[in-house]
Amino acid sequence: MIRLASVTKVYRTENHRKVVLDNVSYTFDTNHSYGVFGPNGAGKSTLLRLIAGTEQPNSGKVTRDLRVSWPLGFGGGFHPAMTGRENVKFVSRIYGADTRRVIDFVEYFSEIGHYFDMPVSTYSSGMGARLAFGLSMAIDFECYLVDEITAVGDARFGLRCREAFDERRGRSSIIMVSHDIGTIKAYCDRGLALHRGKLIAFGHIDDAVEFYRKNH
Amino acid sequence: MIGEPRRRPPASALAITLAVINAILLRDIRVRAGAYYTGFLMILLMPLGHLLALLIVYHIFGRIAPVGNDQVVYFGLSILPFVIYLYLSRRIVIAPLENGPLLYFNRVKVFDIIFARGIIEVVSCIVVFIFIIFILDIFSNGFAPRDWPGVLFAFAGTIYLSFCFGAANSLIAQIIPFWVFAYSLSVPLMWIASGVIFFPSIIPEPYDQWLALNPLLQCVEWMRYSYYEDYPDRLLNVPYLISFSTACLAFSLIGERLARRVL
Repeated sequence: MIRLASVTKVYRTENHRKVVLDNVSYTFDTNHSYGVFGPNGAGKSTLLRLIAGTEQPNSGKVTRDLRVSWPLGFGGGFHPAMTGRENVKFVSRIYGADTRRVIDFVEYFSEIGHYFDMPVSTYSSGMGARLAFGLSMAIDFECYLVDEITAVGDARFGLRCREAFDERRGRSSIIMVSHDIGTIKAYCDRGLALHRGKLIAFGHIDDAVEFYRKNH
Repeated sequence: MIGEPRRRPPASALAITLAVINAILLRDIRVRAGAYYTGFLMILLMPLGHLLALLIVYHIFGRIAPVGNDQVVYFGLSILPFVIYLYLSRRIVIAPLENGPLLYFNRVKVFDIIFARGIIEVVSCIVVFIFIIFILDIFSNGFAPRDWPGVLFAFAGTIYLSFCFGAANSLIAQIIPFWVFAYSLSVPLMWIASGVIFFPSIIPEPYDQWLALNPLLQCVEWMRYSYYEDYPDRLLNVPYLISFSTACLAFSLIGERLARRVL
């Protein structure tokens, strides 16, 4: 279970105050997968970071009693001077995973060949994204957070990603942010809309899609 | 209706923290040392080289030791606390800034980064300490402290101060990034006010009491007092040093907790 209790998140700049979440309370039932809709700048990524715990709310509390991933697909924690293998080993150690198994999986899944033992600074953006995605899939979480995953790699790799998602959906839930309605409908059965600082819950994903289309 | 979140038993949370610190520590070594193990020697030997360079400068300029009959031992023991403070505290101040992207992984916390960096630097300080004792013994008339446990406690006290002070400044630097620059500017002032380049006991009152508020001066005085017979302990205040360090640590721990919603 992931629970938001009276959560408020505000970003302040010199001339502007942006309320991302305004006293939001909601409980995610992790027997279901959720798609989160909202326009650009609504705060969807911020919501995921709050759920992950990498960011704290200004007020209120986020509680979780299960293993939650970092926002999936992110590769910003990779050090450019370290090889792909070394970066994978580091993240594997952080999450207490079987390092050998994770390395073997990521090396197979990402399909970057001998670049796996080259510094990440030599990677193309696509290779970096494949490495990050593979690493996200290699570690077992009870809830995966997915932030705007677009097509990564070629069609064959895209199929492999969908298969990996489908396999994990059987034992883990997903909270997904995406503008691709088809992707969200394929993986999520409940929908949420982030609208002017409020999180509007819909019992079925189609209701959320309709709300999003009407209002944006 | 809504059940309480399941809490991990304390041992499990500690195991997680230790695993994260271990992972960050190994990553830090790899990043700073490069692909070869000899790179790690550079991490260990930089503070030693710094200390030896200062000793050589003092020797060339013929500085006379105000206490004892051995210039090398006097200045070696005096500069040692400053070098420990300089490297340990500075590396801790910049650790969260250098490793900020790691915080995106939700298991990594700020103090995991600080403790991992602290462990590496403490190991480096211990190696420096061992080497410098050997060097002082070889290049002097013999290294024979009055109070060996006192020397070791002074060394440990310097490490404790440096870690705690670095952690406190690290917290401030995360809220006010300019603080890193301000902290760097304070280093020459600390060098001047630490009693390395002058004999603190000759400073008249009340200025000597103001100087005694500098915790680094306490470390230098403690080291000298533990080595020399009849060294004046007028300004030495070990409880003050420990209290100051502990207060810095408490400030950083509590402050990080309170500021977490801002950071």
